[in-house]
Amino acid sequence: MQIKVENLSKTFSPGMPYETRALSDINCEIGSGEFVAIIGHTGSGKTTLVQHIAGLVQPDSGRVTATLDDGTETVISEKGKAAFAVRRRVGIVFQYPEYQLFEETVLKDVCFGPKNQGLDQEAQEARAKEALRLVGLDPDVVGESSPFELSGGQKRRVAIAGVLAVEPELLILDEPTAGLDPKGHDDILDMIDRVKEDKSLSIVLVSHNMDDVAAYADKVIVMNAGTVVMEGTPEYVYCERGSELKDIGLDLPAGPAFLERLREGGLDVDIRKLGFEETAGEIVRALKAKRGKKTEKNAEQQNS
Amino acid sequence: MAVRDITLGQYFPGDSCIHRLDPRVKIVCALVYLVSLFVVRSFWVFGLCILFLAAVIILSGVPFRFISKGLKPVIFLIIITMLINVLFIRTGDPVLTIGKFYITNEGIYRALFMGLRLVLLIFGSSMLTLTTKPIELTDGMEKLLSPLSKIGLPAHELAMMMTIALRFIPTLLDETDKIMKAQTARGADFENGNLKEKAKALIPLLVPLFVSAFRIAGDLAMAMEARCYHGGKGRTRLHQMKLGRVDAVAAIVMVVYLGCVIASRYININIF
Amino acid sequence: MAEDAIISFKNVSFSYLQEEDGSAPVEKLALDDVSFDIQRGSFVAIVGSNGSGKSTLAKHMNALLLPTSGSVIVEGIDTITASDEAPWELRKKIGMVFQNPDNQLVSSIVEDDVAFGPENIGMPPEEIRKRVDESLKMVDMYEHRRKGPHLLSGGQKQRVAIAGVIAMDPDCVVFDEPTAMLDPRGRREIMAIIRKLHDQGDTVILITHFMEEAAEADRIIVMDQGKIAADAAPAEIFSKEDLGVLNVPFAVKLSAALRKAGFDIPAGTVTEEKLAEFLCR
Repeated sequence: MQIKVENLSKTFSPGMPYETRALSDINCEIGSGEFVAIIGHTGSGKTTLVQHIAGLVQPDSGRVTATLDDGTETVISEKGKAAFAVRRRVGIVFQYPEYQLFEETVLKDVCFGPKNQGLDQEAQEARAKEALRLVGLDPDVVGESSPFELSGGQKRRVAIAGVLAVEPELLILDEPTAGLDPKGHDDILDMIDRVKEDKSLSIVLVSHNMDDVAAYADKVIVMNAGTVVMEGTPEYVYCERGSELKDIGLDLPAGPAFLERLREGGLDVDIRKLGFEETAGEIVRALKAKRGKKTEKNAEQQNS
Repeated sequence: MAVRDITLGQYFPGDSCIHRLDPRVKIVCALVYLVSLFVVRSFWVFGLCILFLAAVIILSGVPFRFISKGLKPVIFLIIITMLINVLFIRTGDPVLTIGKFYITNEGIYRALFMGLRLVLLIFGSSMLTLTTKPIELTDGMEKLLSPLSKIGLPAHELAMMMTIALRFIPTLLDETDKIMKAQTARGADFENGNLKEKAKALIPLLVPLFVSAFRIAGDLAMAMEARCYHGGKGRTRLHQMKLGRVDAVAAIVMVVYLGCVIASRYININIF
Repeated sequence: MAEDAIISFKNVSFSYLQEEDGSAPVEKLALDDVSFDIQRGSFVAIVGSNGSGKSTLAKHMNALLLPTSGSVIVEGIDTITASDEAPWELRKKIGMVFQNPDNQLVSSIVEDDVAFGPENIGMPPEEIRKRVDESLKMVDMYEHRRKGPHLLSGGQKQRVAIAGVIAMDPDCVVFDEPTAMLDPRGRREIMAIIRKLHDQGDTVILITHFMEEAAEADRIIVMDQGKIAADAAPAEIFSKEDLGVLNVPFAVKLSAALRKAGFDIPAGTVTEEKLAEFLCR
């Protein structure tokens, strides 16, 4: 499934003293099978944008179009049955999704989505069990326990399974690792990446963690004050336009951020490196060059 | 409609003389005003109430369209009240007859009277909440009720409960909005279906909401204890309430106003 | 107990009953024979995975929880005695900031919220005014003092929560994952305040999942399954290859890679600031 967002605008509480223009004239695309990350400050409109893509909020103007793999185009930002049917193929995992769990057992909770799709009991459970396995939980072990008894990380997995059970083609995740410990964080991201490959999903990840974005995303959308200010590969966003990113107060991934610090400190490094190995390699190169210059200088001094 | 659009019970920041009134005086004045609406017997006295309310609104500097938004959630209630009056009051002269069905001039008169009273009631109480910080409101209540704590009324606890309730209304509304959207994304339908289906559809909303509320309550209780809360005993306050000249003026105006309204009951000027 | 220890844990264990579906309640051991001292004026980070007992540990420091066995001594007073008489006397010395910025603010006006603690300990009104203003200025939230918390960002709310604690003028502030729910900007703001508090001479205890933050402390206590797994300076903690559930700070990882490439990075370089300083020399 492919998503196209065109000229999308949204204002909350128009005419009230706390009127907020959440989105203004947004244009962006999410390709089929793409891993797209949306970054930006809190309040920059990231969450509002993904809620529009999931069809949970109606735009004031502009539209969101979905193109299915068979080529049919549907405007999903409008009301109506056709839009509703296509919107079902978009799954969204909210921030702290474990706060939406409500059923007596894990299995029942994960069945909620399939049940609303009108599947029979057997099909519901088959879907739910598969979704639980996808997120790395054994349905035979946790299936009958209460979701409220699980650990924080497990609860979150159950909540994500609840969305996967709807069998979306596009999965949106709004800061899925917030509040988890380092291991829980890594586990969730690895899981998302695995599910994406297994189910050939498109992924939209809203995140503040630039290292995760650099490591996983094919494309980065940068938002600031309700507009899209940049769109491109992580290399393009972080390396080519890193200084603009810093101007709007966003972080760089650890590698480029540290290289920039070194350059400010006077070390002659190329800051356009993204991965850890590349960063380390660049520092080694720069240090060797510096050492070389020093010995050259010393030699010159001795000669003269 | 986003849940945050509800204005009833919201504070409108300002620095007018109405804003600066001592909350205790303001609460008493508001009560007097509300009582006065029920003393009124004829339309022309409502003119006096409207005049009074208009003066307060103008002095407060709160835009009228903001105040009128407070009417939105209850407009339905007002219309029903008016309809009941029109349809069920059988005294007076019929002014409109359709077959066996008729409505009377008295019915229309009473409907308009009740409608106007409700609108003035809501505007008046909105003025109290719009010009008084919630915290001042609860402080004022606590002070007004404190003499009753001698006979066992937990004035401090009531005020604290109100403070917390006011503080967490926006939080819980946001939470409700979020859970609704999340369950909608999983295919939940909160709008369609008959009453039984609708009630059932609320479970996926209410259970997480209660769980959230309990979690918040637990966290808050812990935080309050950590910040040395141990009831009202030995507690001092940042804001000391002092009565000033404005408060004296307000009290006099209020007495005069109430006097006029009560007097109107005994003076017969019947326009209708 | 060491002469200058502000908080002292002596063989502290804490257990609670957990009810599981259908079966009888099971006793769970959250802290298992924990002993350590916190020096006055120090900056101690406590790390460990979820459920390792970090928060339980922190709540023993201001008598929100009392040990099942062993004792916690704060400023020379046993928390069990303190909690029998007037726990608030102890809590005004040991302030605590929690994880969720929303769920710890009591009032719908910033300055009234900051005043909540001082009001509870019966400070005179003029003094409260002074403390509230000072605290709000300290966390750089003074101009927002008349706003409602729901109009603030997560980081700003957390700054208000910190102001509410320091308005009571505590000797020690315990931060229980204060940055877990914040964005990077919010995190930076909170860390800057924590540094400032420490520089002023306050004792700071920081529970965190972010190793970059822990690396700034004088000392790191690693918790694992209710026990202290390690207790040492950051350099020593991060020098170990296997940190279990902890991840290594970027600066430590990079130092190791550079050492492998033949550069002599001094041991103890655990923050990016220090490493950059060394590399640019």
